[in-house]
This record gives sequence, structure tokens and C-alpha cells, in this order.
Amino acid sequence: MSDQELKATLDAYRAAAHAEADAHFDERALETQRHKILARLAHLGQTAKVIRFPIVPHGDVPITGVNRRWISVAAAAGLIIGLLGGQLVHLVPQPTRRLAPMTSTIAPSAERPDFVPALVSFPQDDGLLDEVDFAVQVRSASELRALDELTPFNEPR
Amino acid sequence: MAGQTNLDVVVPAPRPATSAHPSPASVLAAEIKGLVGRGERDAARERFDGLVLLLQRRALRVAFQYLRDAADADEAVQDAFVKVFMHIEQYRSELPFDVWFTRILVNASLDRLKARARQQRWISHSTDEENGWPVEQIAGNEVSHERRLLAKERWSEVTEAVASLPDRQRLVFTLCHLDERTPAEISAATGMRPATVRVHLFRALRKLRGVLGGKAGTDTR
Repeated sequence: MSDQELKATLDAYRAAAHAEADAHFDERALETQRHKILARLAHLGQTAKVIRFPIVPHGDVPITGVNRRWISVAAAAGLIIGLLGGQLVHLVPQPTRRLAPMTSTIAPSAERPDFVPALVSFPQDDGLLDEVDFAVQVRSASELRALDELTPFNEPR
Repeated sequence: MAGQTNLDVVVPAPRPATSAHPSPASVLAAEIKGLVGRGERDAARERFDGLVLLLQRRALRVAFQYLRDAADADEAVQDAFVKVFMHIEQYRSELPFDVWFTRILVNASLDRLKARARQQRWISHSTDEENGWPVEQIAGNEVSHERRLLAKERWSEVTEAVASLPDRQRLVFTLCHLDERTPAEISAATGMRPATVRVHLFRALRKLRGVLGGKAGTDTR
């Protein structure tokens, strides 16, 4: 292929290529593109719009610096009042206690005069519990012996 | 000299000195630059519309042939014009605006290519079995009519050969033979040295000559 033939082929290729591109971009497409370009240029100098954070719902008081200080002072005052009140409970004698009627029906043990329910012993209850414990032990010994035989133990019995 | 290409025959002839006869685009660009410099941006935008009108068609042809995708070409041309307006104050009025614009357009097209390469890692396109171009790039009867300028087989051969050129050769070839830029203008637009431009052009043409003349070009440098 000579240079002239190559040049003629490339000229034809150029014409065909231009026609192909023009087929994709008709006058309407060009106009649309111009509008897009101008729209982009119109927004060039504008800064980004800052959207406000969602407003606090009605009824909620916004916490300002002054309010935050008042909350701190109130918390400290509450703590002090609580401590003082706790000390006064022990210092001031109380004529009536809520649990006094209960203690009057139950005889407190001599060693622990204060009301401590978990450690108080009652003769009637002790007897009842002993009977229950004995019944359970006897029942397990007679009826659960087979199961007890099958249960593995960590240490030899 | 069989098999050798005489570039002086094939490439466009140098144009007369442009400083004495600036192109309409250069005149308009200088005017816009002045308006922007004086802070009259609204007036500059109005004049810029005229500049877009003047260069838009050529820009789309170059971008489309280089990117082979209408949407990408559209985006690249938009980006190029926006960049031109943003940096119009850096334009040196004594130089041809077309070359400066071509450089920006080439960079915008290359950016599009990179973006497409990133996308193609994730998206696989269906391709036209006949010539390998994505299906959406094939227009209907309008294009087939224009393709009659070249025989269909020859068209496929040329487009495939151009598409298979290495990037720089394809860029130089596109600017030279589709945008009809001289090697000096391509050098100014791409930042390559003039000798490098001529080497790329020579290799591209040698490959095309091999394809069109029936012997496959094997040079992919």
C-alpha cells in the first residue's frame, strides 16, 4: 500500500469516524450538553449548603451551659443532703418503727437484738425444717438409690 | 520505499503562524479571560456559551473516537469545558486556545478511561460479537449508512487496529488523523516532545499499514 493509498484510506476513515460520532450527538444532544455545562458553571462559586440538625422535639428543654451548671449543683446538693440524712437516721431516736409489730410477735434471739431476718432462729420453724430434711433424706435413700449408683463421682467414695 | 511511511505525506500540513491570525476560539477565550479577571463572571459565562458552541462538535468527535463510548465522551467534554472555565485565567492569550483546550480534553478523556477501568473490575459488559465494541455503542441505521464510506470489513479492520494501538500511539493517531492536528500541536497538547510524537505516529501508521495491506503489524510498543 502506497502512502497515497494509505492517506486516502485514512481520509475515508476520518470521514466515517466523524459521521459515526455525529450520529451519536445530534443537535438536540449538543444543546442538552451546553445546558449541562452552563448549569455546572453556575454552581461553581457556590459553597455547599449546610443543613440544620433536626430540631429538638417539643417538650424537651435544650441543655445550655447555664442549665448544665444547675444540673451539676443540684446533683451535688442531693448527694450532700443524702449523706446528712443518712447520718441523722442513726443519731435521732425513732419512737415508732415500721417492723416493730412483727418483732413483738416473734421473740428475738439474745445474741442479735437488731432485725436481721436471715439469721433469726425460730424454735417452731427449726423443728419443722428438721422434719422436712429428714423426710427428704429418707426418701432419697430408698427411692433414688439406683440413680445415685449410676451417678459418676469425681473422687472414689 | 515499500513498507515505510512518509509522515509528510500522511500527516496534516503545518498551519500558518497562529499568533498573527488567532482563531475565533482564541479571541473568544481571551475575551472571557478578561471578563473573569474583572470579576464579571455572569458576562463571562454568557460568552463561554459561544465558546462551547464553537468547539463542542470537534471535542465530542475526538472524545468519542478515543473513548468509544457516547456517555463517557459526553462526560469528558463537559468536564473539559468546566475545567477550561475554572482555569481560564491561566490561559496565555498569545498561544492558540485550541491546543490548550485539546490538552485539557485529552486529560479529561484519560480520567474517564481510568474511571472506566475501575468500573470494569466490577462490571462485565456484554459485547457485540461482530466487532467487539460494547452493544450500546452501536447505533442503528444512521451509522451503517455512514460506514458505507468504508467497506464494512475495512471499517472493522481499521477500528480494531486503532483500538489495539498502545495508548500513546492511539492518542497521537486520534489527534493527528481525526482532529487533524499537526505533530507540533500534538506535542503542545500532550506534553510529549515533537520527536516522540513523530515516533508514535510512525509506529501507529506502520501497524495500520500492515493491517490494511494484509500483513499484520506486530509492533505494540
